[in-house]
Amino acid sequence: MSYKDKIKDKDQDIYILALESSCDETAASVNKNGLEILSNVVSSQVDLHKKFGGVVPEIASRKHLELLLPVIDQALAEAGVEFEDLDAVASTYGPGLVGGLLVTLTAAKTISLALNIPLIGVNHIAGHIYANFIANPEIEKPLICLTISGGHTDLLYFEDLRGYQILGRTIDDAAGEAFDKISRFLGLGYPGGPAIEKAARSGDRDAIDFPRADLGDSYDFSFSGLKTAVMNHVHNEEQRGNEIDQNDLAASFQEAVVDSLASNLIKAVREYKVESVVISGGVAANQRLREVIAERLKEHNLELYYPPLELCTDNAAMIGAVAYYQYLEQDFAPLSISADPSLKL
Amino acid sequence: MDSSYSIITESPAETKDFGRKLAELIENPALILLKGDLGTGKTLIIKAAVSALGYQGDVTSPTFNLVQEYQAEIEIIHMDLYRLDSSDELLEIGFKDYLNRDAVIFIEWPELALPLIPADFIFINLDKISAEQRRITVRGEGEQSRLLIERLNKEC
Repeated sequence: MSYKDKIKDKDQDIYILALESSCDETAASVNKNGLEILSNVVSSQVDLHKKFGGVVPEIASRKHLELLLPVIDQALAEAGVEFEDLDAVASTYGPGLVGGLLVTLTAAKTISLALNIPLIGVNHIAGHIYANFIANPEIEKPLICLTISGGHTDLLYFEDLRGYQILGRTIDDAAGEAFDKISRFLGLGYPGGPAIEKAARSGDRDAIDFPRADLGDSYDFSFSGLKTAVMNHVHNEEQRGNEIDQNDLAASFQEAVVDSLASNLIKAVREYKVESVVISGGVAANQRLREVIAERLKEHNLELYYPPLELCTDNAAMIGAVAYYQYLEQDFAPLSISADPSLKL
Repeated sequence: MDSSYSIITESPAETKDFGRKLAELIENPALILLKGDLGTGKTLIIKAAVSALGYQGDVTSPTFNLVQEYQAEIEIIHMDLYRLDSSDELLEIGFKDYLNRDAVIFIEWPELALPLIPADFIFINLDKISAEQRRITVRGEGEQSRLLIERLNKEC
């Protein structure tokens, strides 16, 4: 009998154990029927890495290995669920640090094989999107989701929660990457998003008219030209011997990014006649972005959803939520699945 | 498990003394990361250490050429990653090959090197307390940092 033979019919409750350790959190959860979280255990290594000013993957993967079994035990105990009750086991398989991904993926494969239950491989980025659906189960479908971070900028359409269609993505830099690079260029520090946002608060966003990429009818994004425009502006002003107002520059740059993101999103809202709009990912924390999108959604009578802070950090419950919908689609992974550090949506 | 060593130096001369002591207590090969804002004394410590390791020539921060090598009794490699944008650029300069060398390696502005290093390194953090005073904290991971911290703590 194959390890994925044990599939329940859909009227019964489905219990999924989900594991996540793609960066510096070791996490396990038990979800009932997708969005009902019975336990959500996260053991953070943030303090361990903070003293070095960044994650050291070699340390992280060793630590994940140490922490994972106790974290799984605690997740099962808090949920009041035994291994035998599980219907499937899920693990993030990318994107992330390969050492960490291998730890949970190998554990999940072992559990799948030992219990003869399906193995589900989940994309970490999808997890962050589904964190919204855990926090707001009442979100109406269909919906548009803009997911933006240091690694990706994707515009997605969800007919229901079982799958999504990619409408557009960045053709060069991710939005968060543009923030980081410009912040570094201006000497404002890392991470760039919060640094630029802080400087922008005291600046005039209309001070400099930076270009917005025109990609015609597509829903794609591009931030590379904007980055060059900012650098050229600074060099030109320097050559003329003019003083540069960093706050004005940060505000004008941020406005150009926000405007590009919001314009494409609104274009998709018009075209797809959705019931809700969701933003997720690190850049979704930008207050100006939320403000502009919420404002432009008013004329469409749509509300903007974004995840609460506690679900923005890495956790396994969001992985379990995605896994449930993959379970319904019988989208199972073979035991030969490998970690993919640069997995895309 | 979370062992560390911390000292406050009252002047650049004392910060230099720390660099000399560091050179005496480490063993070849070593991987030493130095983190601290501009002007906190990273290069000063490396200068003193390199000279104590037996190299007589000039030592300056290789901000432009990224890597400098000094040949003494042992081989010494000095990197400054300030001007790099990503870890990928580090791979392009052959960072992994440097790590495999039988050498004492000093890295200034080490943030971008973190994804590429083994779990065995010495991490020195420099904080500015006043114009002259610095807090120097030694941490790390693995055997070489454990040994160094043990020896530094015994010294005092």
